[in-house]
Amino acid sequence: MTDLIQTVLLYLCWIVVIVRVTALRSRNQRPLWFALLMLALGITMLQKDTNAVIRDITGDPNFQYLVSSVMAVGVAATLLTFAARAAEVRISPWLRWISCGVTVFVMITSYVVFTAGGGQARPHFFPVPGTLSILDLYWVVYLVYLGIATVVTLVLLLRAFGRVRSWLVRTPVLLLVIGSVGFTVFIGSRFVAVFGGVESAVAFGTYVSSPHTIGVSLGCSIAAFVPLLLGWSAWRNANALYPLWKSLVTAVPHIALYPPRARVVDALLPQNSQLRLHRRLVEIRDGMLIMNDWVQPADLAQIEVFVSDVSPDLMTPMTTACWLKVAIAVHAAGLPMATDPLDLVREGGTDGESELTWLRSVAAVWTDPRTDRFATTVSETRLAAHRM
Amino acid sequence: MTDSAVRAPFHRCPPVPTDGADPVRRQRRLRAVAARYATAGPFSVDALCRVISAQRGRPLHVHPLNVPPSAGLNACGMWIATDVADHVFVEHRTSRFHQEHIILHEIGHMLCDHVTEDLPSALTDALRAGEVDTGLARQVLARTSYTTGQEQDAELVASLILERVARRHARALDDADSRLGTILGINDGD
Repeated sequence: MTDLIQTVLLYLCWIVVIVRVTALRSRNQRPLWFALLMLALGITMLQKDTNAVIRDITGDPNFQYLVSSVMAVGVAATLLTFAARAAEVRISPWLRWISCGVTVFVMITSYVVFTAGGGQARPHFFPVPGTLSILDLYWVVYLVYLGIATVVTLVLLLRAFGRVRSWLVRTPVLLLVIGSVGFTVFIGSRFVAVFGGVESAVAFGTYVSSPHTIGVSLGCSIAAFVPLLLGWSAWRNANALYPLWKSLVTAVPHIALYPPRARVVDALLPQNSQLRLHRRLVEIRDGMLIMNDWVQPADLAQIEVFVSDVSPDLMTPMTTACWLKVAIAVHAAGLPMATDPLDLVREGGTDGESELTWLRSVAAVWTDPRTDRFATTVSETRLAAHRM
Repeated sequence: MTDSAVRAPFHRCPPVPTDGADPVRRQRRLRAVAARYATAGPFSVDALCRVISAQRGRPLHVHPLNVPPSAGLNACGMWIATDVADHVFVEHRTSRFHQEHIILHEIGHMLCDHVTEDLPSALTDALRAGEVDTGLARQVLARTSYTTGQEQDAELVASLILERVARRHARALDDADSRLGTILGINDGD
């Protein structure tokens, strides 16, 4: 089970490291990317296959533990740097990086001295209970540094969490908070396992460190998914507007900046969704402005009678959908523009969001059978009057 | 209008050739223009008008476009450049969102250094009763359709600016959120 957890976390971490590689370009984003990289390297070291390769190369079964522990120190230091920036608290770089450097130096030195002296350790490179060696110094320095860095990080993250409002920002910070809580418990379990000799604390540590890995991986990488989520939302909205937009660009093709595509092709090409959505809103508006001049007051009066029976929230969008359909039909039949055109296109949004809400409400009733029925009746009346 | 402007001889420049042969380079250029003006922080078309006015060293006036359909102009936006000012005319019978896009389309012409060859006759008729003397017009570009390279470019610049603004708006980040969002990389692409 623990192997499976570690394998899943390994893939998750490396995918995120690769996806977020663009963060290297930004000074602000580098700490989180390095935290991810070191987390991924640390987990890689704990994989059985990696262990075997490292053991073959170094001839030392404990080298993997040194590397993964050094990576854990690096993760803690970079997360602390991020948390300080997030909470707008200045922690002296000297304090941050020298403490990290000293920790790593003591760990490597202790490891070399212990290994060169032929010292015997328990599995996981734990010291033998009841004995005192330089390996104890290794673990004390390592766990004390991780403990202090993680608790300070947790406090700073909680402070940052309290300041932000958007869940887009709160979510990754919350994930990092959960990760830090998990890691604090993990450090406690390691103290018990290392110095108390409690074997069950090792497996417990593996389980409680999983939230840390998941929280840090997702917390550091959520930015990579934001464009995807926004793109998906824009794609969904653009698809919802398709029938309304297609009718208008077919009626007046010159309003389209790019030639319209078939529905299936349009739906299967998700790139540039936000630009496509914006174009769709604008082109629908352009089409409405042109079509406005083909509607007569009598048409509108007739439509208003028809829609008076529908629910109040549908009345305005259905009226708009109906007069547009009537105008398209009249325009297609070659009738001249209205002699006294109405002023029907003012309804709408002040920004993209409110405009989208309005046009989505019109698009929602565009394919409603009642809309078709009302519009057909009105346009037939108009065409019949023209023929007479 | 100033005396010097009134006395200035009427002239029009030939159209600037668009990079029609290289659409990739053309799109890249337009994206760069949009990126320069869809700046971080709160965006408003009014503020952008002030920036453009300061850059061009002349006032930029926005007027409602009130041309009856019978005039046959079939435009919902128009830019008229005189010697002393820029006048943007915008269809007022539409939503604020649409009006802002139309204003940005006309500003897109300015940002792309567009020019026009001839004043449409329908336009001169329509303007005769308006406040801008057609004799002083140096540039007139009306937003009607996108069949010319210039109209396509201006429309794309307007769309790219508002697309960037919409993307930022979708994240709905205030100042504190935006700062942390930048550290997390949520604001990437803005």
